[in-house]
Amino acid sequence: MCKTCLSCSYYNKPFIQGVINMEKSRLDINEILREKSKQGHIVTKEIEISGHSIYVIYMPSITKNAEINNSILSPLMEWKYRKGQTPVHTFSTEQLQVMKNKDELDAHLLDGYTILIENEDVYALDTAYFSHRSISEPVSEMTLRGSRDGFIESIQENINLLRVHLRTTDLQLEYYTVGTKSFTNVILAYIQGEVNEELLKEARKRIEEINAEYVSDGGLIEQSIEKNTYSLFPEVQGTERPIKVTNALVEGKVAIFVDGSPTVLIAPITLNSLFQTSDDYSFKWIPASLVRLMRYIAAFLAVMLPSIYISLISYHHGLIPTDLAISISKTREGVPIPSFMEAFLMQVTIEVLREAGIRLPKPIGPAVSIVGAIVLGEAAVTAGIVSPLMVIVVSFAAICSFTIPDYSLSLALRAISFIMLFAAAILGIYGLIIAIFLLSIHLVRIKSFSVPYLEPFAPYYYKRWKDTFIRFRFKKGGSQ
Amino acid sequence: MSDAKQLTALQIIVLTTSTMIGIGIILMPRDLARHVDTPDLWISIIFGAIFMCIVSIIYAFLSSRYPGLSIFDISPIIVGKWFGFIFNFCFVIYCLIISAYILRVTAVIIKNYLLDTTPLYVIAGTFLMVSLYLIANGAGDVVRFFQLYFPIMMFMFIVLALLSTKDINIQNTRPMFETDILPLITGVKITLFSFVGIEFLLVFGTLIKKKSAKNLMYTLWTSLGLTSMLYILFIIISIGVLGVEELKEIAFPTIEMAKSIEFQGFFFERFELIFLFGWLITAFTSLTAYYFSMTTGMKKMFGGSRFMIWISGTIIYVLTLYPEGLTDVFHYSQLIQIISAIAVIAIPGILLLVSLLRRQTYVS
Repeated sequence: MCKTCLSCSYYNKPFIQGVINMEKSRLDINEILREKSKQGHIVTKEIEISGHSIYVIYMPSITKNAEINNSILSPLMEWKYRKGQTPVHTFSTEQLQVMKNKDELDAHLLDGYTILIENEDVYALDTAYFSHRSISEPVSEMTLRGSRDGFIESIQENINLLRVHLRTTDLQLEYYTVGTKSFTNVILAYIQGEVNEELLKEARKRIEEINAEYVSDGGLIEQSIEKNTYSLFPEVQGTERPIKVTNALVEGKVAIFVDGSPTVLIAPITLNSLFQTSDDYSFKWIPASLVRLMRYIAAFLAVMLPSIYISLISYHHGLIPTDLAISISKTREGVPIPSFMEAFLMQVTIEVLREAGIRLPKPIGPAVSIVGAIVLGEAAVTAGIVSPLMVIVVSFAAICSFTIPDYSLSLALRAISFIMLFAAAILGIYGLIIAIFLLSIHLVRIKSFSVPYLEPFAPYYYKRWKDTFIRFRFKKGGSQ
Repeated sequence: MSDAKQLTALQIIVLTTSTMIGIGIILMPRDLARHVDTPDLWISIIFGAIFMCIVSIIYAFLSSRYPGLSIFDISPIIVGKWFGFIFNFCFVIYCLIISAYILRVTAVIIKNYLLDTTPLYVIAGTFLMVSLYLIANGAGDVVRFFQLYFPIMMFMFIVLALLSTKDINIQNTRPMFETDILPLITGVKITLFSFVGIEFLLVFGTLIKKKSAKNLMYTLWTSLGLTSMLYILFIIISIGVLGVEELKEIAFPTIEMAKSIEFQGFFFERFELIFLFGWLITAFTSLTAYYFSMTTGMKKMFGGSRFMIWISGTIIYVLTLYPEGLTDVFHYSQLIQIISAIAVIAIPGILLLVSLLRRQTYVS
C-alpha cells in the first residue's frame, strides 16, 4: 500500500513498483511554469546539468531551505552522465512521486513538496516543514495520573503520539481530503479486528459526505458529521489526550484526526462514556468507583438541584420538614422577587461569570471569579435581592457541573438546567417529572453512529454494566 | 423507524410488567377490600395471577404460530377480512378506553396530591403529549424507554416497601386464612383487571420472531409472577399500615399508605414523593403502551399515516375529559371490565381456536 504522502491519489492503492518508468505525465509544462513563476510566494528555478534542463518549483515558506540545498540541489549538481540515465535518477524511486495532473501538483506544492520538472516528466520530493508548537498537557482535560501528553496542531505529530501509546500493526489509518478549497487532511483511525464493519462504513460515508469549502478545526468536522442537529447532546467526543483515543480505539471505536486541530474526534459515544475519565482506570477500583458515582450524582444535582428547590418552596412546602420550612421562609423574608426569578437571575449570573472566566487572560480570570462569587453573591444577599439559601443552592449546582469531564456535555446539561427551572416554575414537581420524561425520551431516541445513546442502560447490555456507575475491578491477568 | 428487530426474553418481561403495573396498584386494594372484606384478600391476587397464567398460554401460542405479526395482522389472516376488522376495531376500542381511564385516574391523582389548583385538562394534556413524543418515533424508542425506567421503578417501590415496614401494625393483618374460598375466587374478577397489559405481547408481535410457545409462556409467567409479587407486597403493607376498614373507604389507599411514612431528620420528611414518582413512571408506561397499541391498530385499519398518532391522541384526550368527576369515572369500571374481558380473553381465545381448527400457521 502506498502511504508515503497524504494528498496524492495513490494512497491506499497498491504501490506500483517503478512508478517513474511506467507512468508518463500528461501535464503542460510550459503552462505550469508560466503560472507558477507569476506567483510571488513560489520559487521557480531552472538548472542546467550536462545539457539537461531541470526546473525546480517550491514554496519557501513551507519548505526547509537547507533540505532543498543538501538533498536536492547539491546531488543534482554532482550528477555525472551515465548511459540511459537522466539527472532525476539521482533520487531513489521512493523519494520521487510522479505527478499526473495539475490538482495533484498543486496539492503537493501546498504540502511542502518540491516539484522537479525534467523534460515532460513532473516529480515531487518531500521537503515539507510546517511549524507547530511542542507537545504540552491539554488545558481543558486535566488528570492526576497517567500520561500527560496532548495532541497538537500537526496531524503527523498526532499520529506519532498515537503510535507511542498504541504499538500495534492492526492500527489502520485511512486518509481523506476534506474541504473543496482548503484540502484539509483528515485521518480515520481504527483497529482492524476490534472495529465493527458497519460503524466503519458509516464513518467513511459521513466523512465523504462532508461538503464544506474550508475546514479549519475538529469542531467543524464534528458538526458536519453528526445527525442530531437539533439535539443538545454531542454525538462525537472531542479529546486532546492520546490515551483517551487509544482506549477508544481499543474498545472498537473510530477516531477522526483533522490536520491543524488538536482535537481528535471519537465516535460512537454514549452518555456513559462521557462520564468516564482516564483517572478512573489508573486508581484502585473502589475509590475510583466512588468518584465515578459521585460524578453521576453531581451531574444530576447540577441539572436538578435549583429546580427541585424552587418547586419545593413554591409549590410543595408540605414535603419539607417543618423546622426547615420555617428557616427557609425566614431567609426568604424581605426578598421582593419570586423564587423562580431569584433562581433564574442567579443561574444567569453564574453562567456570565463562567464565560467571563474563560475569555479573560489567565492572570485576570481568577480575580473576576472571586469578585463575582464573593462580592456579588454577598452583596446580593445583604441587599436583600436573593436569599442566602438560594445562593447556596445555585452555586453548589454550578460547582457540581464542573465535575462533568466532557465540556460539550457540561454545556448541554447547563442548558437543560434552565429548561428544568422553567418546568418547575410552571408545574412544580409534576412539571419536573414531565421534563425528566421528555429528557429521557430524547436520550432514548438519539444515537451516535447508530449506537443508542443510553447504552448499556437502554437497551440492556450487561457485559458493560461493570463500567457504568461504578468501575468494577479488572480481571486478573488481563485488562478489562 | 424502529430499530429493535427481535425482543429478548428480558425485554418482553420489562414491556409486559411495565404495562401491567399501572393504576391497578392504586385502585385495586380498595375494590378488593370492598369485595372480600378480610385481611386475606391478597390470596385473590394469587388466584388472579393463576388465571392470567392460563390466559397467557393463548398469547404464547398465538404469538409463536404467527411469528413477526401483531394481533392486528393476525386477526384478518385467521378470521377473514371483515371479522378481522371487527376484532381489530374491538381491540382498538379497548385500548382507547383503557388509555383514557389510565389518563383520567393519573390526572386526578396528580391534581389531588401535587397540583390542586391546576385544571385537569392541562395535566392530562401534558401527560398525553409526553406519551405522544415517545411513541412518535416507533417501537424502538418505546422498548428502550421501558428498559431505562424499569430498574428505577422497581428500585423506588422496593425502597418504599422497606421504609413502610416500620409503620406496619401486625394486628391489622390478622386473622389470616380465615376466609371462605368463594369470595376469594370471585375476587378474581377484580384482580384480573390489574393484570391486563400482558396482552401487550400480541401488539409487539412484530418484534417476536424466533420464539417457541414454551419459551414465551415461561417469559409471560415470569412477568406475571413479578407483578403479582409486587401487588401482594403492596397490598399486605397497605393492610398492615391502614387496616381493611380504612382500605375500603380511602380512594387511593396505596398513596395514603406512602404518605403515612415519616422519617424525622431527613431533608424530606415524607416519602410520598418517591412513591408518586415511581408510580407516575408506571402510569406513564401503561398509558404509552395502550396509546401505542391503539395507534398501531388504527394505522393497520385505516392506512398508515403520520397523523394517526394525533387522531388517536385527540380521541383519548376527549374521552379522558368526558366524565364529570371521579365517581363518574368509577361508574364506568363495570363497562371497562367487560370490554377488557372481551379484548383480553375472548378475542385471542377465538383467534387461537379458529387457527387451531383450520390448522393454519404462518411462517414468514
